[in-house]
Amino acid sequence: MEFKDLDPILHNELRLKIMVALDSLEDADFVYLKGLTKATAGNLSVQLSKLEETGYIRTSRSGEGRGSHTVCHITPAGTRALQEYQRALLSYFVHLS
Amino acid sequence: MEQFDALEVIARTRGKVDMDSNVLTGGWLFPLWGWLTAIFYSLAFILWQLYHQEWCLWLWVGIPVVGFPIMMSILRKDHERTHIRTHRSKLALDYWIFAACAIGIGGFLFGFAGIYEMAENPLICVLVGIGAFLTGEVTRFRPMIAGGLIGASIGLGAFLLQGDLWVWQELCIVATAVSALIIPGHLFEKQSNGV
Repeated sequence: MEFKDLDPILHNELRLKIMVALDSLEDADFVYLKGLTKATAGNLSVQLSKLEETGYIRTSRSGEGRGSHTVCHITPAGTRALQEYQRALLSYFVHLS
Repeated sequence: MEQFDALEVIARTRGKVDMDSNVLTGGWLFPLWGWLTAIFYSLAFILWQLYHQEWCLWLWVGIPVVGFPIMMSILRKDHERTHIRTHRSKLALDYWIFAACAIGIGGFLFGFAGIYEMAENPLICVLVGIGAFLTGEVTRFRPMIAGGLIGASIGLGAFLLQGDLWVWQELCIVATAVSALIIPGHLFEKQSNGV
């Protein structure tokens, strides 16, 4: 029985939550994602940077310091990766049943 | 994380985001623009009755002049609040931008051409009514859907006010602002503040 490999970037609870949220939305800001994921600001920043480095999301920042506002969007590559991840995930259950 | 946990994370997150998507961010914009519209158009109507001067019909220019600085200053302070935009809410936002441009450009074109009594005011009512209806649909907020339909209906009725009656179209805009912007906007703010 052959299973598809799961994308290690997405196979992490916090990053998966971020990607699923951004896939359902046009965009979301840092404050919303922090509330949704219940993550600390530091951890969320690290995971967002990782997703951005991979090319799965795009962030845009306005303002500086305390007044700064970060908005995140999913990229087409991110959407494709999430779809592929969900397909791979489902294949496990298809094989099991 | 196990595969089953991943599926659960996906399902839960989608459900939570779907619920959050119904929250109207920036709901205060409706009462802001609604009150400004109602005040300026009421004033235009009263002054026209008193003086019958063309400048009375240009008072609407004061709405963006007063409204934009207030809106921008509140938006600047608003950065601490959460913001999300769904694919549907972006459509509604794009519609409002289109409607604002159409109303502004149309206002100048009709104004300079001196054809106030034609379609401008009823069209404003219809555009605002459709915008409120769309926003209500996106946020699934029934008072806004109803207010939008009432506003658009007032606009359609305003097309009938021609000839000497055209100046009453100004009050139709006030009625549209009250039904489509002010009342649903305040109800929404009340609901989101848990009052």
